[in-house]
Amino acid sequence: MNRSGRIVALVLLAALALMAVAGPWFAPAIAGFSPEEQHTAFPYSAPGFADVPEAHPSFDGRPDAFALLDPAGSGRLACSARNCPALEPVAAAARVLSRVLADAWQGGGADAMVATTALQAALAPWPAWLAVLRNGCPGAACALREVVDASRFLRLTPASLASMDVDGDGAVTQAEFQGAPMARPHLLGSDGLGRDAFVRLLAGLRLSLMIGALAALAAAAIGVAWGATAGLAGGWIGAAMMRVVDVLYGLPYVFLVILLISLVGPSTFNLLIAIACVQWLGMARTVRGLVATLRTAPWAEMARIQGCGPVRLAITHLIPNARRPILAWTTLLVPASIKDEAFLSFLGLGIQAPAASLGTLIADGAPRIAEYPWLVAAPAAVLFLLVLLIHEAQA
Amino acid sequence: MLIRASKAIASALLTLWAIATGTFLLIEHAPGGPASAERRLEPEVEAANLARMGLVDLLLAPCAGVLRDVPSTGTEIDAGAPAGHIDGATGGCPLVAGQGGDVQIVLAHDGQTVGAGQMVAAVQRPGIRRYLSTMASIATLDLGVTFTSRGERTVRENLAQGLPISAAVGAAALLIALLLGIPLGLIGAARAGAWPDRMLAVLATAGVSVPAIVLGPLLLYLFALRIPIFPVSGFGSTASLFLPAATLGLILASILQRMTRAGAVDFLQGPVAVSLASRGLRGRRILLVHALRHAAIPMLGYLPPAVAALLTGSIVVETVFNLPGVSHYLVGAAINRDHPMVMGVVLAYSALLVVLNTLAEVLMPIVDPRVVAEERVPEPL
Repeated sequence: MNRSGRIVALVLLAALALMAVAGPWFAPAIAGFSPEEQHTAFPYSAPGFADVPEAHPSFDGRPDAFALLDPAGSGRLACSARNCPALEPVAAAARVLSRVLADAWQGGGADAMVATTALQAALAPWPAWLAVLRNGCPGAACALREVVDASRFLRLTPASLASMDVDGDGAVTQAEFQGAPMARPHLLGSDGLGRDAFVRLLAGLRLSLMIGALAALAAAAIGVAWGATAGLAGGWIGAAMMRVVDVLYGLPYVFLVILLISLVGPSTFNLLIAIACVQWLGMARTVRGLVATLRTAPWAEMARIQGCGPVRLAITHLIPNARRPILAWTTLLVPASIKDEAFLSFLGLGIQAPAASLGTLIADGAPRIAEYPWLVAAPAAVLFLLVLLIHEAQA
Repeated sequence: MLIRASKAIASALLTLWAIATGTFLLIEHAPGGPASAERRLEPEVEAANLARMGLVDLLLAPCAGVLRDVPSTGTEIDAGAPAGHIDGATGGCPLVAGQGGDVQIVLAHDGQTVGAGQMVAAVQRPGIRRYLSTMASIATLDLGVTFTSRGERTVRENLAQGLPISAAVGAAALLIALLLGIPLGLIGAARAGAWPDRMLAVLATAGVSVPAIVLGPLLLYLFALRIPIFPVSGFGSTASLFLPAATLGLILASILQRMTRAGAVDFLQGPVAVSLASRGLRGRRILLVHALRHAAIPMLGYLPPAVAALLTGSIVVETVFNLPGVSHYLVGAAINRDHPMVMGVVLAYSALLVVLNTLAEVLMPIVDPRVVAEERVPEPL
């Protein structure tokens, strides 16, 4: 592969990794759904089908309940006077309301009492909220908790939504009510439980990358330790240690992973350990060869003559000198571990529900591929791309 | 040659012994295995398995005190009887104390009886004896009874049902890989650097990177659902084997294409090819006879890993295409922690790979006489 192709692969790979790692932060902004959020009323919805995310801001004992009134978290409840002057009265009133609520919160937390009159004054330009308030807080004063509970009630009743439809077009926009629940499209459709495929894909990619990287690192650590020991020990001990590697090398290692998983039970941690337990062999061979060669180098002899013990020699001289091939091997282990993880999760022996990895996503979609091909297509494409890019980047 | 072969065979036997021993140690210490109380097995499974593994002592451990007092008159106790019957016995001992006699346990799966005397001996049997009898049963291909079949199916029966199908898929895949990979590799080498070579390189790169769990569903969707040429799933005709075999074959073909091309290009650029050409050999003959042979050397060494990849991939395609091969038994067994079944598959596949490794080792001098020649040449000091 030429140099430019390699750079392109590296950049794409970095983008994919960034997407996976930053997923939890930017996925809500793009999709609005959480990975485990179920919409059982609309299973297997096609890409583009819009649904209201559950993650609509609500109060659960935290001050960020005001997010309902202030979805952007900017401290303002509506647009500013500059970009939507028509809503400035609403915004001003909302600021008053927010101050009333914030004062009440500081005074006594969720159980603080708020005078209905104060709320009504603040909510005067905002008829929808008055309706909500009348529903949730009929008396002269009510607890902050009740006010915000009422806000949740707001989302659930079509009638209260209708009361907010200022322009009467049959839909409440966020211009009419900032906290209005908005339908968001399922970018890649949704699965059999109505979970957003895009958000789950991001979560799956993250888990797959994490397991790939961690298993590769663990395997590399085992391999380096084993190989260096065998290389330094030499003689019959080294030969015996390498004989163990040879024997294991000749085995169908994936079946060994399956055996290990079957013995200890499937879980993310066990999966990681099992993959690491079989992936270290190549590394051990490489490192042993390197160490066996390097220890006869003049500088290594010199170090030994000057009183450097074998352990210190390995850690401070031999392994650092072998770092390039070690690094190269480690990067080779990553796609292998990712493939192993996907394979085992596909069979149901790896990641367990409700967590998602690329393998479980493909496995979940595979039985209904005839009707809902997009559920397999997206994770399969990402898995293929991931492995391809890693291969290309290190070629 | 003979020394080489006998060395390889001895090493293979050693490997097989190591695998069997590792298997024994794992099953002995596994949580949820017969040596642990974490998982409760059906009594008939437990009895059958323990007897087969020579672990009757575990089954009868609670009887250690009871058995010695048993008087000698004939009473039969069926180890395959319902759980209630067995659990009703004294102190967890499957034998009813006091009924006495030459007590016999009848094993459900084969009607074999185990006498009281034998059992007393078994109770006091140390671990090393258990190990030896397990080794003996593995050596006679007796892999035990599956946990999940109420003691009625042995691992060997399941393997006998699944292996032919898996083997058919694997053999077809290997055939596809060889028929596709080697010619395309030679084409790539003959046209090195030109567009056919570059196109093949792109395809091979894709093929090397695509996991079977991606390619399998893709082929299924394209050639069974979109364009219904092949049956969707299940095992019926030879046509139902084509897509699974193609999934594995295409991936392996990509690897073989790369290896063939690399080996042939290496040869064609070397002095031997120039010398052959200067003696008037046609380019085609150099490519098809000499370059191919040169490229075949690393491929023979790659045969065992390739078969391992096929075995691994066969689990995926059998799941995707719903074939009743080995994976049908293996995956369910692994999820349900049916250790004997999983062990059986691991042992069988390990043995297969060890045999292939040995074969590759023994056959190597025929393809590449340099291997033996190098052994004769003394190492330079």
